[in-house]
Amino acid sequence: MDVNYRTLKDVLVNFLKEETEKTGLCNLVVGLSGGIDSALAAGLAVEALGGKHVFAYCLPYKTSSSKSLEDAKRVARFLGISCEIIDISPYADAYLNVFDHYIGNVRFGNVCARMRMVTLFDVSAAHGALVLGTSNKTELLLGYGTWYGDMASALNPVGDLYKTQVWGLAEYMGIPKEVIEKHPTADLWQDQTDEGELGFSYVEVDKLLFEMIDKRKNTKELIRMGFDEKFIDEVSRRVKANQFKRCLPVIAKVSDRTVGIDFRYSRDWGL
Amino acid sequence: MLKLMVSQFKPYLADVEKNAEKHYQIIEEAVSADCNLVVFPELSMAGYDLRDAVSDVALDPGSEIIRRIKEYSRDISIVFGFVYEEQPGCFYNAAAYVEQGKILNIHKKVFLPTYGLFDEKRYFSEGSSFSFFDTKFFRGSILICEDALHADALIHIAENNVDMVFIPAGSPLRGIGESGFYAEKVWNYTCGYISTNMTCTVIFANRVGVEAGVTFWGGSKVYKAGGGIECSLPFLQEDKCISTLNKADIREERIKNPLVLKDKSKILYKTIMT
Repeated sequence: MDVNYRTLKDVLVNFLKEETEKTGLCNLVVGLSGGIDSALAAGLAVEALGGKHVFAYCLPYKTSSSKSLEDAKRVARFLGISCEIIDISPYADAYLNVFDHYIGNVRFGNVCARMRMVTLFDVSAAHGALVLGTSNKTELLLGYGTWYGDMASALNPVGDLYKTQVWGLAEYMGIPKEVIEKHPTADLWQDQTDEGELGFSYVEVDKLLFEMIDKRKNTKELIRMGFDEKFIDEVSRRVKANQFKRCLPVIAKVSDRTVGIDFRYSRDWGL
Repeated sequence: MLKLMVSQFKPYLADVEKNAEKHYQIIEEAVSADCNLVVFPELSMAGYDLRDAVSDVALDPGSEIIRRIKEYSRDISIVFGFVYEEQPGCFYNAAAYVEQGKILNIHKKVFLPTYGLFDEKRYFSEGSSFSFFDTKFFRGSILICEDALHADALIHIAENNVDMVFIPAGSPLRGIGESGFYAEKVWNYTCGYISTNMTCTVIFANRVGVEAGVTFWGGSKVYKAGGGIECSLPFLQEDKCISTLNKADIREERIKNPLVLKDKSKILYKTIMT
């Protein structure tokens, strides 16, 4: 779980530079939420391509907290990058008002995440840029994100880092303390926090996930190590139940060579 | 005396023509620098994560690219990696030593990693032997990446008194911990062991570049017989280095530390069960 942050940073910066430039593009766009994942991803992007090639967007909905917006601006100032604010409320509301009732927190959250995705992919075309992913390994494993929303991106430098490693690397890179130390939140409704919604802390779950996924420990071994059986079962259930979010859509195979099954090429084929 | 260039090369994935052009440029640079030998990494002509593109980038000995490499080899000896189509539809992860217009050796990778992020056995046939070859400078042998991690290959090196072991590699970075990362540790131990205990020169030519998120970390090195590091290339960066090697140094080291097998009597390995 403990890593050499200097090596880690060098690898991630090199990853972003190479994977962007080999596509023939030289720009990245990122949605800055005011949280640590997008701050770190943006910081790595600036190191990889330079501040002039990173376009940050703050995409608040009318009920988003002003603190999140302030933090996002603080990050942009720290990184020396431009940060445009686009209020997603008019076009999110245009859709939400189709219904004569509130669609509930989960659907509402997904709609906002997908409106932000539409915006980022659209502005990426305007900038000749790729969309930077900001989902960390903890979120990807637990499925704590919106499919084709915040999980959608072209390149994700932080997807193999647990949340606690995101904090560690952010600290190493000097990201403002206010952003590192705040309670992580998707900011979908007032006083929402990730840890409140998940029902456990990132520190706790990262320890478990590291042993379960990286070290391949089974339930018996995890219990012997002191993890609570109910906690193991819940986390294990979430990881399995959200596998679909980590895969391409399932395609019914009928031909000899099928996309996603046996038409096998790297993303970087020919690059 | 041998002047050697190691090219810490970054291939284009599955674009053999572009890779060949890059090889020609580097070979010409090496000739201009009065080098006698240039060494490229594993699958330098093809890229690593080929999957279904293996058949598209395969070369047979009659191909135009091999003909050009043979031509260049009249001025400089060359080690390079490629997909070798020995028989129609039979593909190997291979590396060749080419000298004075001739291919002296094509080594077909024996140990194809098929675990974790590796899937080589799905796409390549396995080589079935290790060999050595006498060049105009040294007795050489090629071990492609994973080959060098297996004891069978090391016994071959020791038994045949190989002077120079070429290890073209495509080692992916993984397992970052508090002090470095797993792959680097494995290669430092391995190359240090071979050069020290087999008293031979080791050329570890590891590629760089990123293929779909997988980083090849570089860190290529030339080890002198006895384990001393003659030159070392940087982490992650495409680069090259030139070293001068002397056969007398190997002799001197072997007199001092005669660790290679002197007689060729076969040792019987057995475990006595009690």
